[in-house]
Amino acid sequence: MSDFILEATDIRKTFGKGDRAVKAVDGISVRIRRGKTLGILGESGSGKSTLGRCILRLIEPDGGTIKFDGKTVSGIPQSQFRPNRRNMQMIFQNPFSSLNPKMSIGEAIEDPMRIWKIGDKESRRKRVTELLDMVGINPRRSAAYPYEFSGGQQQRINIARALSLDPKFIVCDEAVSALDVSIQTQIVNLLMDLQKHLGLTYLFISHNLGVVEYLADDVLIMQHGKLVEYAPTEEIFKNPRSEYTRNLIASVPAMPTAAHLQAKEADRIARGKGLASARSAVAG
Amino acid sequence: MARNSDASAPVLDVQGLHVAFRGEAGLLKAVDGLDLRVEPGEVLGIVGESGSGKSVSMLSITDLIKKENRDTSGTASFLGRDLVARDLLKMGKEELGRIRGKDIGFVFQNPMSSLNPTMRIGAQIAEGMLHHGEATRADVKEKVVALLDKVGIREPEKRYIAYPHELSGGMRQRVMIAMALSCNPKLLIADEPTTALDVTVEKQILELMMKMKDELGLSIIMITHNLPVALNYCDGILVMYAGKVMETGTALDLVSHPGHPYTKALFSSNLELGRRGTRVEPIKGNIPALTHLPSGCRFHPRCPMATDKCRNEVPPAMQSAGLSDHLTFCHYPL
Repeated sequence: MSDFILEATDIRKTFGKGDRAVKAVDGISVRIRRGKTLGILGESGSGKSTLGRCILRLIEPDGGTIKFDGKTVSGIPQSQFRPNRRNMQMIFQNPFSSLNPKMSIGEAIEDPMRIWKIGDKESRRKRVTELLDMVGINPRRSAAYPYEFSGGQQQRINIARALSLDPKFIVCDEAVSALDVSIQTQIVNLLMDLQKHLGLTYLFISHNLGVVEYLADDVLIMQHGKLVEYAPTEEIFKNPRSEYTRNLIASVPAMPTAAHLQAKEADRIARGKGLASARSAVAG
Repeated sequence: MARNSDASAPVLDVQGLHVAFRGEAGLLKAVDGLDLRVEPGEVLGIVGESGSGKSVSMLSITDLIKKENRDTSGTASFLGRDLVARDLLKMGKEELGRIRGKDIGFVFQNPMSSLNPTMRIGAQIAEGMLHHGEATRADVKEKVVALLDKVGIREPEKRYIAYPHELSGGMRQRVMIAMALSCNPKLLIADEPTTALDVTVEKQILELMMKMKDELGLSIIMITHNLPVALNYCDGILVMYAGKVMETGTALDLVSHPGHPYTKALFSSNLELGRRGTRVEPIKGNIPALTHLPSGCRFHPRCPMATDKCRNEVPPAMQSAGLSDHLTFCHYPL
């Protein structure tokens, strides 16, 4: 068994033709070890989502090879590829639009098992209960509909559905970006706990540097479809090699310290632009 | 909000603001008793998660959400350029129309949906200036081009005739800022101005707003869910949760001694850079629905320190660290 559950080599995808052609993914190669997380960081339009979709063949790449769990899964017809699908799942950004509003959450989680003809009705229901429990939703609410849940709970339900076929690999495309800050950490921790317990491998696509630094083992940074930097997470954040990465890291607003804020206020007063001076100017 | 408040008049003084919506699901109490003051030249940050009431409060006092089914009470005294304070909530449509877009400028989250896609950006900025008498047909183009240049748009003459779709997200937000500043406002209300932007662009836009504030001497209310952004760019901060203010103080107050368990939890659960290798504890539970608000302190179901008192009694304003303007709405301030 290969150490790497996924090996994608020289993936290419161009949209449009002629003058208007956009190389969304321009020769990207990734390898992800079993049970680990590769973070893909990039700004909008960098091609990070297209890469994730090419790897799952939700978009057909123009070139490159993909090996999943030791087998080559590129260059074969979708019909032959399909059996791999149960081992690779996806979690999207918008938790509400990812769920069918007319299906109860129990039905939504059971649906993949029904499609794959796994177990009977009773065993599937049991599995739904188990999955809801696993993601922190009270299983007694399985008959409720998506709108009855908050955004964070809806994302938990999406995770339960992604796990229903016991996959090995999950692509998380901005999976916590639409969630409130107090909920983001809950979902990120849940994903990390599930990874530990189930041995899952993640491709975690995000624009959020803090989240990626927290959970990824390796990070790949993309810009305009090209690879900028690809290294273990600590390396990327401690010793960024490219100007682009350094600028990206420097742009993230840090939590200021008291000393920093004190210095800022002192500087403002010195320049005559402190709050106190602004007030006296108006009063005078 | 500002330390050692003297008698100088604030640009905006909101007292006892209540906003409720009548709906099928019952009465939605979106804002429940909000007080805030914005001093001249000050940046006030309103920090909160979805449903905290941060946007609704500002959109209600400026009458930018539909009046039907909305009950608004309280006062919102605004100091116009004539230096006379008037209550925005008592104004008629026309009087408010003369202030909105002129003395009060707005920047919203999504510049694409805030701009008219079928109109050239120069004409869109010119429209407001002509309407409010800030320019004449003869000099409006010159003024708009100068404004585009000021907000950092390169080749402003060329961009004057561009359509919104021809610009990047960051450039569109610069256009929004130009538009908001076009009539020399006293107050800029920026509602999640950088949430839809990439981090590198976010920094540029925030720095542009600060530069404009210093140059033009305006006050800014910045609504954001991003705590580090608020702390880095705002002087005073108001932390809201489920329609109520939890804590208010300067950025320094909040950083050096947060008084509310919610504020403290926001700090400790935030996934900023540098959290790798630690286990970051999230805030447990979910944000309450406005139709089913918790009794007592709104945060009590998620608060690790909650007692029966928190469940039953709405907490009063408590001074933190002996500072009269660092207030925490908690029975047991930290």
